Order: sequence, then C-alpha cells, then structure tokens
Amino acid sequence: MKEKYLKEFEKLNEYQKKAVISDEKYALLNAVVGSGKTTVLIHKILYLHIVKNIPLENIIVFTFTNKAADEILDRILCFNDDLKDKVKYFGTFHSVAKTILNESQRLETLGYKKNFEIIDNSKAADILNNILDGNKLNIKYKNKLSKRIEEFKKGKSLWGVMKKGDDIEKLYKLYNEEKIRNNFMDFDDIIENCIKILDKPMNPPYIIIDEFQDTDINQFELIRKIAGDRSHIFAIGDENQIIYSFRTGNNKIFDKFRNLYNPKEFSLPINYRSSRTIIEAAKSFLNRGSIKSIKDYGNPIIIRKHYDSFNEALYVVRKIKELNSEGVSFKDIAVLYRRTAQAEVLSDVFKREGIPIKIVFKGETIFECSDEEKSMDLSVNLMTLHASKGLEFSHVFIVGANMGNIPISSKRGEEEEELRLFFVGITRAKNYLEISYVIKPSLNGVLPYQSPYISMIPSNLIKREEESSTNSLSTLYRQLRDEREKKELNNAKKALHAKYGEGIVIYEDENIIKVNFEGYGEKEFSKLFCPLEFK
Amino acid sequence: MKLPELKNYENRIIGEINIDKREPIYMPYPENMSDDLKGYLKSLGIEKLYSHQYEMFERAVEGENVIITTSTASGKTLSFLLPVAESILKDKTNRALFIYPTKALAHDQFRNFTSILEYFGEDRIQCGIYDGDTPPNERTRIRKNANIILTNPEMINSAFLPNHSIYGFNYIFSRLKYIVIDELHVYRGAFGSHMANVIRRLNRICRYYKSNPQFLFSSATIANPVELAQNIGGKKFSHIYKDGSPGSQKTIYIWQPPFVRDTEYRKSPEEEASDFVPDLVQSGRRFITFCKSRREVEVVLKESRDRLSNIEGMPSLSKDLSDRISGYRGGYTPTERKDIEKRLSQGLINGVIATNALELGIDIGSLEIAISCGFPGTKASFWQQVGRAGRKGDGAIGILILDVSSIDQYIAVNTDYLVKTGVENAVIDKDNLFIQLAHVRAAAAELPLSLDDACVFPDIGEIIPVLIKAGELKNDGGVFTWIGKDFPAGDFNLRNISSNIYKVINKQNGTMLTEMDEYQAFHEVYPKAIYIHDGMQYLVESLDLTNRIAQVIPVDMNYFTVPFNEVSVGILREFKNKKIMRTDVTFGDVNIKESVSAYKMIQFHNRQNLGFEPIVENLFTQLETEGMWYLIPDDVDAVINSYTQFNYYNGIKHALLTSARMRTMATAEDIGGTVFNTVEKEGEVKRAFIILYDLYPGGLGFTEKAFEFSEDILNDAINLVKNCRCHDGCPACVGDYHLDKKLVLWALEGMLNKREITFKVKEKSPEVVYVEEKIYDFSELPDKWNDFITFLNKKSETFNQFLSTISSVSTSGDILFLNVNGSFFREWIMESANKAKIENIIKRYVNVPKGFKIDVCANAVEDIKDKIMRRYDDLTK
Repeated sequence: MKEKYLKEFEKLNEYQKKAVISDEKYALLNAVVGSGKTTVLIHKILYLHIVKNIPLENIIVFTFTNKAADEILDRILCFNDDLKDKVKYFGTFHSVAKTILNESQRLETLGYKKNFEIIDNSKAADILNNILDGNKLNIKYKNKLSKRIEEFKKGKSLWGVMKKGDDIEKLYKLYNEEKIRNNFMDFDDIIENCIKILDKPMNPPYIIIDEFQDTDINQFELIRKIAGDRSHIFAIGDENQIIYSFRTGNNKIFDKFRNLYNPKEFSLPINYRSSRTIIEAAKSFLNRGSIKSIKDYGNPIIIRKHYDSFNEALYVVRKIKELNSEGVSFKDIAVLYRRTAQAEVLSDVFKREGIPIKIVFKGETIFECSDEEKSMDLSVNLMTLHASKGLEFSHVFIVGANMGNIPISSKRGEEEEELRLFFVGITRAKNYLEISYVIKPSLNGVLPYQSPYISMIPSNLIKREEESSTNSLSTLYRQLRDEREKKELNNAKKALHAKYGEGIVIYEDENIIKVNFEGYGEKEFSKLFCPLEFK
Repeated sequence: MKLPELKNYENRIIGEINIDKREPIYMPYPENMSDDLKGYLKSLGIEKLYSHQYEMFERAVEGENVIITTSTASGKTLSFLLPVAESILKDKTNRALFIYPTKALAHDQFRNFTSILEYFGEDRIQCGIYDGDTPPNERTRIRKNANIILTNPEMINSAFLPNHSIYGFNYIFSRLKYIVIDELHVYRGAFGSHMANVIRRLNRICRYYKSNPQFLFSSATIANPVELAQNIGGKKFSHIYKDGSPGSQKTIYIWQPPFVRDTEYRKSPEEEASDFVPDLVQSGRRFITFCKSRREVEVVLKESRDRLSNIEGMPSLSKDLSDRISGYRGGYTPTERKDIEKRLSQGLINGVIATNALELGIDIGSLEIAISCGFPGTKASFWQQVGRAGRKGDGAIGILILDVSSIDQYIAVNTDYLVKTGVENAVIDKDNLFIQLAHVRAAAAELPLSLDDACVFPDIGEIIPVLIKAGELKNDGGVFTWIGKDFPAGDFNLRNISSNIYKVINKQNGTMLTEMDEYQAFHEVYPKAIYIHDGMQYLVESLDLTNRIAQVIPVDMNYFTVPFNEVSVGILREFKNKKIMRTDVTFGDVNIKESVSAYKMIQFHNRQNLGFEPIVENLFTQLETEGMWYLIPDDVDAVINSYTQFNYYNGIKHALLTSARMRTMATAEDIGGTVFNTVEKEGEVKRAFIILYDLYPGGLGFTEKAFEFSEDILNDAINLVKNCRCHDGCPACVGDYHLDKKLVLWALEGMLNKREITFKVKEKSPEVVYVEEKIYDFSELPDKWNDFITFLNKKSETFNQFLSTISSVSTSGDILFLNVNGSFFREWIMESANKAKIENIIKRYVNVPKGFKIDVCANAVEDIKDKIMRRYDDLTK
C-alpha cells in the first residue's frame, strides 16, 4: 500500500509535495484558487496514515461542507476500502462537534441528553414565535427574531431604530430553556456547547482545516479547545476567497492564526483549472499573492449587454442550447448571480425553454447542505456567487453584473469582500467565461450600467459585443421611409433619352409612356414614335 | 312625455323625434351556469337575464370572441362579468383584464364589481384597479392575487407589457383567460391604430406564456363594430346586437335659440341652457347638460347658480337652490368628481353640467333629461348623450340645443339626419408604418423578434434592417434581440396629448386648483383670464411658462373671458412634389403655429361683449409635422375670393379633408387642414393653397399617404360634393349649409380642368325665425317699473340690487328720471361709467327713443346727509 501511495505522490508538483510531507507542528498552506488544494488535503491524510502510520481516527478534518467531506472520503476509500470505519472526525465543524458532544460524558451537565436533535433556522424561528405568542412578550422587529437573538448574543439588545430595550433578554432565556426541555440544539448551540464541555483538550495528533478562510471565531475557539500539546494543526485556505465574513464576522482569521501559532507557511501558486485568459483577468482582483497559470489563453472573456434580465435569460438559454449541441454537457455549465432573487426569472425561462436546471444552495444552511438528487447531474447549475465557492465548471455565465448589484449597493464599505466574491465567481470557469449586465434592471438599487469590476479586467482579455445606439423614433421613421423609397426606385422601370438622360417611367398605357427626368420634369412620349431606350 | 318646463320655450322647439319604448326580452339562467353563480344572481334579486346577457354567457363559455353593441345601461358590465366570474370560480388562478379608455371610467365601473366580491369573498375572487395612481402595496396585491384587473391602455403599453417577466406579471399573463375592452368605439384613428398594436404585442406575449385569452368587447353604436373588433383584437369575433333590456320611450326636442335683439346672431346654446337649467332645478327634475368645453360648463354652472340664488318669491335665506347643481368635467380632482357622482346618485343634487367625460359609460343613476348644448360632432356621440337619460325605464327626454355651426343648423332643417342616415364608421389603420415601427421596437424589447412575428407586424421585413443598421437590434442566431434604449414603449403617446402639464395655484392659500396640459393652459389660464372652477371665479395673475404655473386669485367679476386663436403655416422642407392637371401637390415638413393672441370679455347673463384685449405674452403652440398642400389655380382663387359673403375656401377644404380622412383612415383628431397664402419669391404673385397636416408632432404618415393618393382624394372630393344627396350644400359635403355646393364643385373641378361658371351662386336667404323682442316700451316704463325690476332680477343683471331700491321712475321727452332718496345717489349714478352701464341695461330690454338718457331726481323731502350731520352734531356736543 505504501508503494502504491508513493507512486501517486510522485504525480504532485514540488509545491504540493512540500506541503504534504511537511512535519511542522503548525502549518498554513496558502493555496491559490484551482491549485489542487483538495488533492493536497487527501494526500496529506493518506501520507499521515500510510507513511506516518497515524490512525485515521486520530486525525480530525474540518471541511466547509459535508459534501466536501464526503468527496475527500470517497477519494481516500478509492485508495483503500478498509479505511471506511476508521474515519470518525471528518466533516463540517458542526458535524464534528455533534460527534464530540454525543460522545461526551459531560453533555448532561448542560441539561442535554444524547442524540439531541438539531434544529434548522426555520424551526428555530417557529419556536421563537411560539414563545412570543405564549408569553405576551414585548418584542420589536418580530419578523427579525433570529437576527435579534444573534445580535443579543453579541451584547446588542437594541436593534434598528429602537431607543429603549424590550423583552429580548427574557425571550433569549425562554428560548434556551425551551430547547433544553426538548433536547434541541440550534446551529450556534452545537459549537458553543462543544466548547463548553471540552474541559480538557482532546489532544489529537493531527487537526486539518480546509477552507480555513471561512472559519469563524467560535470555530477557531473550538480548534483551540481540541488541540493539545501533541497536536499538529494544518490549515489550508486562500485569503483571496474570504466571502463569508458577513457570517464569520471576521476577515482576519489568517492573521489570528499567525499570531497565535506562528505557523510555517507553504503555498500552492499554480492554477490548473482555468485558461490563462481567465487567470490573467482574476489577477486584477487579487488582494495578496499571485497566481501562476500553465494553460493557454483560450477563449476571450465575453462581455455582453442585454436589455433586461428576461432577455438575458433568453439569451443564456439560447447560448447553452448551442453549446450543448456542440457537445458541452449541461452539468459542465453554471449560471452565477449575486442575489437569490435573480434566480426567479432565470429558472422561469429555463423551464419554459425545457432546459433542465439544478439550483445549488449553499448559502445559509451550512450544516445540512441541501445538495439533492444525484440524477440532476444532467442539469445546468444555477447558483449564487457565494454558493459557487469550491466548485468548477467548464462554462460559466455571470449574469446581472450591473453597477449596484456587483458590488451590491446594500454592502457599502464592504467592497473588498465583494471584489473577492467576484474573483471567486470568475475563477469557477475552466474554459469559457461570459459576463453580462442589463440596461433595464428591475431589482432594488441596481443601476443600468456595467459593474465597475468589468472595467477592471484588462481590455485585451475581453471581447465586447458591438455597441448599440439610441435613436429618436422620428429619425428611424425617416430612415425607414428612405429605405422604402430607395427600394421603389430600384424597382422602377428606367428609360434613357438622348437629351434628358436617365429617367424613371411613372406611367404607361397602351399608347403613351410618361417619364420623369431629373432636372427636366415629366415628359410624355407616344409609344409609336418612342425615342427611349429601356434598361 | 311632455315636459311642462318647456312651455316657456315653445317657440324655440322646431322639431321632435319620438323613439318607441323597447320591451325587455328575458331568458332563464343558462343551463351550464354554475350553481355558485346562480346563487349570486339570486342574492341580487336577478331571477332571469336579459337575452343579450344570456347570449354573451353562452358564446363566451363556448370560447368565442364577442363584441356587444346593446344600448347604454343595458347591463353590459354584468354580461362580461358572468362568464369571467364563472371561469374564476372554477379555477381561482384564472386572470382577466378589463381595459377602460380612461382612469375615471375604470374607477366608476369598479362599483359594479363590489357586490360579486362581497358575495364570494376574497378567498374566491379578488379584483383591483391598476393605474398610475395605484399605491405600491396595492399594486403588489393586485399582481399577486387579483383575478380581475381594471386598467387602461397606457398601463398595458408601459407597465404590463414591458415588465411581463417580472413583478409577477408573468403569472398574470400565463393565467390570462379574458380580455375585456369596454367602449371600443373610442379606439378610432391613430388612438385605435395604437391600440390595435398594443393588442398585437399583448397577444404575442400571451403566446409566449402559452395562454390564449378570449376577447369580450363592447361598443356604442357605430357602423362597423365587428370590423373594428377584429382589427383591434386580431381575432374573429361574433356580434351580439339584439338588446334584451327595456328601453324608455324617448322624445328628443330640437331647440333653436332665437336671434339676439335685432342682430343676426343667435343666442348660444349655453345661454339658453343657463335660462332653462334653473327652471328644471326648481321643479326638481333630474338632468344632465352636456357642454362642448370646460369653460362653457363653468359659465352655464355659474349663471344657473346665480339665477337659482336669486329666485324671486323664495325666502332667500332658506331656499337657495344653487347647491342643487354641480359641474362635472376633466380638471376636477378625482375626489371632487367622486363626491359629485355620489351626491348625484343620492339625489342631493338634481343635475350636472358636464363635458363629454360623462358621455362614456359613467353611471350616475337615473336621469330624466339629457341636454346637449350643440351637436357633439358625431351621431354616435349624440346618441350616447341622449342615452344618459331614462336609465330607469321611464320616459326620457333629450334636448338638442342647436349651435350656430353649420352641422347644427343643417339638423335644424333636416331633423331626419339624426335618425335616418347611418352612424359613423370607426376606422383605424393598424399597419400605419410609423405606429408599426413604434410598436415593433417596443415588442422587440419585450421578446426577441422571430420569424413568427412576420404575421404580427406585416412590415417587419422592412423595419428590422433599419433597426439593425441603427444599432437597436442584433441578429442573434436567427432571432433579433433588442439592444437599444431602456424603454422604447415610452417613446410615443397612444393619444395626442401634450406632456407639458401646468398647475393652477390659488395664490391666496397656495393650494392647487387643478392641472391641465399646455394647450388647455394657453386657452384657459392666459394672463387676465377669468378661470372658473366649480362655479368659482379666479383671475389669472400670471402664467409662468418656465415653471408651468398659473397663479390665480379668487374674484367676483361680472364677465368671463374667451380667447382668440390665430393659425399660421410655415413650410420647413419640401420632400415631394407632383403636378396633377392644373394643381400642384407638395408633401413636406411644415410648422403649424397656433397662437392665443387676444381675448374678449363677455358679461355673464346677457353676453354683452365688454371689450377686447390683446395678450402681451407670447402664447403659442407649435406643431412641427408633415403636411401636403394643393395649389389653387389663380383663376379659381380669384373667383373664390370674389364671393365675400362666405368663405368658400372652407368648403373646398372640407371636401378635401373629408376625402383624405377616408382614404387614410384618419379621424378629425388625426388630420387637420387650413387655407394659406404665400408670396412667391420672384414674381411676388400671391398663391393660395389648401394644406392638410398630421395633428401629431413629426407626423404619423397620414398626409404622406394622402400625398400618394392626392389625385384620388381630389376626385373623391369632387364626387363627394357632386353625389351628395343634399340640394345645394350640407355639412356632409361642403361643411356648411350656407355654401352653394355648385361653386365648391366648380372650384374643385377647376383644379383639374378649366371651367366656366354657368350657374348662379345662391345668395344667403334671410332667415325669419323667432327673435327675442324688447319686452317693454319706453312710455310704459313708469307704470311697469316694478315688473321690470323683477325681470332684471331674474336675468341677474348687474345693478339689479341697486335698481330695486328705486321705487319709481318718470319720463320727460327722451329722458328717464330715476327717483332716488338723497343727493348722494344722484352724484353716484351720474358718474359717467355708472350712467352708461345703467343706460345700457335699460336699452337692452326696452324700446327707447333715439336721444334716450337717464337723469336722477333726488328726493328733497329729507336729505339724509343733513340728517346724519345733525345726529353727528348731537353726539359731539
């Protein structure tokens, strides 16, 4: 098995190898987009297990989604099927924390029993509303209860335009009691409770964290609680892909890690995914570091202007049909947008045109990612830019790239993160990238101009559709009539006269013929003695 | 039905038309009608349907597109509502659009929906008005939940279609089952052509959403309802014309106003109405009076109110009836209008003085009498006005007070014109190139153009290349996508209305009285004008053309103002020219300038012209448009000009204009015409022309088409005059019964071939008609002084209050002595302006000798001045 593995190992590039074999106690791997970071992660696990003989159950792996955890596991099991039962702490922070909680003897000190139920946000909202109804609480912003609880936990008991407090503290208390009574935990509880019950470190030999840039303060705190004196911490991430700081509340997690652990830093600078054109464009949005491309330039990036989101959707459908007829599979195509609301027109048009779609969510529900039916592989992928992180597609369309939408107008002061989000979006594409905007936007705050980010892409990388122009109705009408006249003139019978030159036949019967000559006016000729030549 | 109030005016009634009562035809509920709907009808007490309602239900359920032309108040709204409701009750996701020509009408009709909404509740059926005034949250509700949406053509053009894919409009379009268009006859000429293209776009969008709505239309009586319906709806229609509702017995009186004093001017219909309306109010009649203009509404309203507050023999404090009538016209705020409608239907007011806003099917309850001040232009329109009376099925009366216009006076002689000849055609040209172009652009933005659209817009093959060349369309793999501006549907108006809106502000309290467009502003609120709103007078202090604000202050004047117009023609560019026999026709760009240059002041009640004032401000509207003009041969011009009694050019213009409108399928709102003269550059020869021009900025292609047919139009005009069945000239052929059609025909033919005059042109025959006589003789005035004062009082003459303090008069030679108490009045009366006014009042109603003057005889018994002085002395002691 070791030999088999080492053969695989040789396929890695030098940067990747270095990261895999590093034995630093604390390491930070700066992996640029599409640089084979997942491959390195899998190799790291296999290397530790096969070469370093560390049991799999002694390795804790945090991933961003459960789907990513499954993929990693699949690829490990490909290598050796026997490893299956050994894996214990593979998954999102939530799922790992759940496992830890259920194993803990101290769970009952929190008032919980084993096999507690995890409630999602909508269930949590139901519970909050029931408490409100049953207890006559005075609460402002009743339709924003979850948000208010969240803020309250951060110490803010006022919200919006509130000047004086309400019963939010009471609500919070009742809510906690209600959850414990029913053995429910919400998403926040899992991490917080896990931190509470870990009175001493688990001290595993290895902790590996994927998508480290998306780790929030609580999760980081959990890592610190788990890690002990014999633990290695290996964090993989990309600071250029921090797009969830509105949720993690933090875009300085790398610095925090550096300060606390002083890790040895590695890098994966080569992008294997995208064409050189796309990488060159992506470079304009880099905050730090650089990206090396090894591919050819490939297709230019297409920038397109559409009339409205409906026409844009119709166009994308037409284009996808065309691509599909050329052999591009639907599943290799993604349509990305900034706001969930944009999906409405898109999905409506796709359905009407009979193109199968899969709407990919990732956004709000990290814990149970609703990645649904497997048979959907033959569908075009529709998703928000946020949800696209970590995915790649041969062909990518970014729609609604308007000023006010990208960056979104409601996020003033957070343009850097918006810039990173756009960076994530364009780097999803392997071969073909098309960015479009509309001149008649319908969403709030969206302006009828292209996103400022489009103009940040070097113009030699893009191909623009020819510019349009505006005309007044009366000018067009005149042109239309001129055309009509020209045509009539072309169809008219022409006659040549020795003196008058060329003229147009305007009337003809069996006896006479009338011709209009420029400069001479109408002349009438008898057909019997006709001095005319006809063309 | 005889109207006792007409007794005092018997000598004015010169004709009478009687229309028989129509018996109702009832049918049981249709068999296939759901029990739900039957239950609803029972709850209203409707046990059976009128036959046309039954027929509509059956045909609609069968899937036919239907046009119904039964009379006003025959329950057309219910006939639409039943099949629409049936479909909604079966499937509450179904949607229907009800399109009304005006916002006001949609609001009015909404009343007819409330009972069905209440009966079934919002869980089963919802409804809403979607127009420019609808607040955002209501819009959201309507788009999401309303099964029936009441709206207008402008909203379809600029909101529903351009946004079909968003805001939930997509759901409406995909569930659209019925499109109801009420008052279809309104969609004529350019407006109708636009509407046909709006419906083309609507049908196109429905096809995209795979819905295939059915059309249910209604129209007033026109000659070609099915043709118009098919032109506008673009589908096959069946026609329901058999009216199952009962109709009142109707009498229509033709009322000829008398000549004023010994002039040859007749009193205006409005003056007559001002006299007659108070009589109707006093006897409690319920009526509506239609005036042709907004100003006339207000003048009749004010004069009638003055008379009602002055009625003799009524205790003046408690019985002032002036609040029993109200005005009703465009320019009143929606709240004002709603309030008036409510008071009218509750019987709090007896009648309204209205412009033709009420001609459309606005429901104002049952009225006995409809008065038309002047023939409203078309027979269809006249019968609509008459139809306002007799809604309860009792006898009804229509009164047509004739104007001096030629068509009115023609009716005076040929009453049969109203009943015997057919009603007008409503024609449209939906393939008008300009209108098609406008809508093809809008359609392209809504949904890319494809081959399928060739059968929607016939000239698309010519239009697409032009739009591609102009950078507005792009060929995208076989379909043509819009890449032009953001809102092409906003580039045109469906109706010919100016978008410059003026505000009229009451300076005293800063409130806005009303808004009006530029044309109306120049004609109603020019500086120094008296603007009347709901009977209140306001003097216009200033008209700010930059900020579009008219500042007015409330006043109480004894006159109103009437503006004067001047039309001038400027040729901007000549495009095409052709010679037709002796005339020469040119097509080109022209500038039609209509200026409001002066106004005259007319005294209330007696219509005395108090003077003529120029308007210093430059108030003009300019229309740059396309026109085509015929040269009038010099010899024809010379003859026409030699007949000075009438302007025969108007006759020639009328015939050409009528023929041009027929050829180009245009209405009076689409093509105008006038006569103009030029000075030729070199020879300085004056040439006369008749010009026809599009009444739309930039032109709509009507006169361009007319230019193509200029020879045919001239021949049509000749035939129109030659073959008219009238004896020697009528409104139909030459526009004016005064004109001898032989001379008009000669002139028209003279444009083709030189002709000699072989006939004698008719002279104007003196018309002997009832003339309002002077009521009193000078000599009998001392005896009848009290009667005279009462008479003046009824006429609401100026100074009548003062004159009634004069107890007696005496005569000496040509002088009338007024006996007054005290010398103060003597000085005051003899002040020259006052003296002249009082003399005028008396002259107006009294046969006076040539040297007539007044003088004052101050009563010397006790001079009040002395008396006051004495008392004052007492006090100061």
